[in-house]
Amino acid sequence: MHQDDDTLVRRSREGDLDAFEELVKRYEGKVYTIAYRFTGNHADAGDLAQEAFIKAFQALRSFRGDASFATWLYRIASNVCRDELRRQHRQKKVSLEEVMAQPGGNPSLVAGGPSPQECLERNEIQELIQSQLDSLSGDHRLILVMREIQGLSYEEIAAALDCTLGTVKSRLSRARQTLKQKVLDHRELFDIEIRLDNKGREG
Amino acid sequence: MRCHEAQELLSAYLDGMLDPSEKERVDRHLGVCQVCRSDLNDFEMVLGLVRDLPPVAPPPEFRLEVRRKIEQSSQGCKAGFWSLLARGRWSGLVAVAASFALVVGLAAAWQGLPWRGETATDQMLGGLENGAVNKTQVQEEYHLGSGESRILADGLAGNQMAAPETVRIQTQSMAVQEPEPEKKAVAAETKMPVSLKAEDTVAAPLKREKSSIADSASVQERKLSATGNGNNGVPARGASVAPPSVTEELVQQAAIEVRVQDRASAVRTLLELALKVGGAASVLPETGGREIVLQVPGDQFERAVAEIAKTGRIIRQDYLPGTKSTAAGGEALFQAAGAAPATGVGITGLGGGDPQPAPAPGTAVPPVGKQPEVKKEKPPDQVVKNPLATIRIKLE
Repeated sequence: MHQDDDTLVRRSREGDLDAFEELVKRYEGKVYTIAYRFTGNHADAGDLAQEAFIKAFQALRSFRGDASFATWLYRIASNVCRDELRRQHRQKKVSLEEVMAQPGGNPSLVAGGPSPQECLERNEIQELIQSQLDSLSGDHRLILVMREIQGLSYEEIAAALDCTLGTVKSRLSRARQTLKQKVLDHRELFDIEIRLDNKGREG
Repeated sequence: MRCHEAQELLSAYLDGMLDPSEKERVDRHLGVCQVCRSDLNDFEMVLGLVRDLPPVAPPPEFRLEVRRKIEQSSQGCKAGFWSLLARGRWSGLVAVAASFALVVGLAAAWQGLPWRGETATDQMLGGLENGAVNKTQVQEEYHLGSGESRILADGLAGNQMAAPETVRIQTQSMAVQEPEPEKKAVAAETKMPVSLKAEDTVAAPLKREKSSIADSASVQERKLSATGNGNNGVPARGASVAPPSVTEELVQQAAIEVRVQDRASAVRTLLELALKVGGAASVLPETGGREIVLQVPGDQFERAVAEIAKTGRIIRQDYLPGTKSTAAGGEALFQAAGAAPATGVGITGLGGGDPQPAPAPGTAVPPVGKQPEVKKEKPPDQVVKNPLATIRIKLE
């Protein structure tokens, strides 16, 4: 029997962990994807996604149902990513190994990769996009994930990042410019020039 | 409109976030500029590719792990009320209240000469229990499981006693109760040993018997002590344990990810390593045994890292060299790593700084586990100079 989110939220709030597990089951894909696109590796994505769900559970009482549970949850997920970014800034981490193999290896070949009919070429492009996302600064990566993956509005992003609409506009513009440049710089490497050009002409 | 100006606006243009007049100007420019049109196409194409990135599925055990962590943290919720007090702005109030209790207790104790030592001890006990509650919450914050035992870090706290703040407060209370100056002086002097004894004999068993007290708690404890002393010059609950000198020490920390062939043998190697350098190791069960926290004497830090490197291929290594333990350094690292050390599986004893329990009637320190004989008699000042370094190891 299928219960709607509201029922599950109410039961979870009363401490019913089965109900909450059902909510996790429904939304883990989206939350994990946000975390993965932000971190670019499975180990960190797992940590952040878990943190998002645990925070959501702990904050269920404050969920008033103004937005849907999904929207509320995704907001928590992006907040967790934002907090992670701030934490990294604070820590000024010293990475001894500049380029390290990403745990989990090839992202498109592990859990939840592309559907079978998607061809190798597509994988290459997706890998390229993810690796270029990874190479952006944390601020740029975060705002791109919020806007392009989560589909948040400028107002929602401004609220989440605690900044003005103007800042969102300019930061997003710079992030997109940088990403576009990086992707175009690499197109020979991945031999996607022709496809890009084709797509460009269609657009 | 010039090209560079148009290109600045293309992002907002795509999202329909330009006001009408701006939009019109951009439209006009795009009508005449081939370069910017192609730029817009590139934008759309790249952003389309980002939006088309496929969803990524979490590992199959993801849901269970979330549930387990929630169960663990809700077990610790019994202390919820206290954690609310301790975390929020009420903490200052609690600190004042605790100090007041201490002051009153000591004053009363001093007045009743024959039994004052016992009362003082009781009060100290009260203070320490407050401290213990606090540690439980700290543990909760880091999602540590309760009921997991860990016998670690005797050298970190417990043998550092009687902060100057404590002495000052005692003196003040005497001044209120007994105006004669010579009595005041005597009070301050005679109180000292009492509090020393109380800390010494009570702190150790508390730490050992309260299974929930993890090492991170003692790191945190020191931090709280520091902040506690800042609360209007009043030490927070049980915070008088840590003297300022401890907060000055340098603590090395590292988080290392290693890809290993055989996890079981790697774990064995690490446990042996801990034993060799006179440190301690614990496996974190909530990570499915994938993560281990090593605590080693500071001067063995480099050696330990080198040994860890031999267990497999290092894929990630972050460290905070010479972190001041007053700052959030240690905390930050633990947060970054996801959780704090929790449990004692395969514990080896700690070298260095095991406090010598002061003999007090009725408060014997129960021996727990195997305490190796190495370096056990180290004087406390060496402990401060050679603090424990923490290394968190993740085995892939």
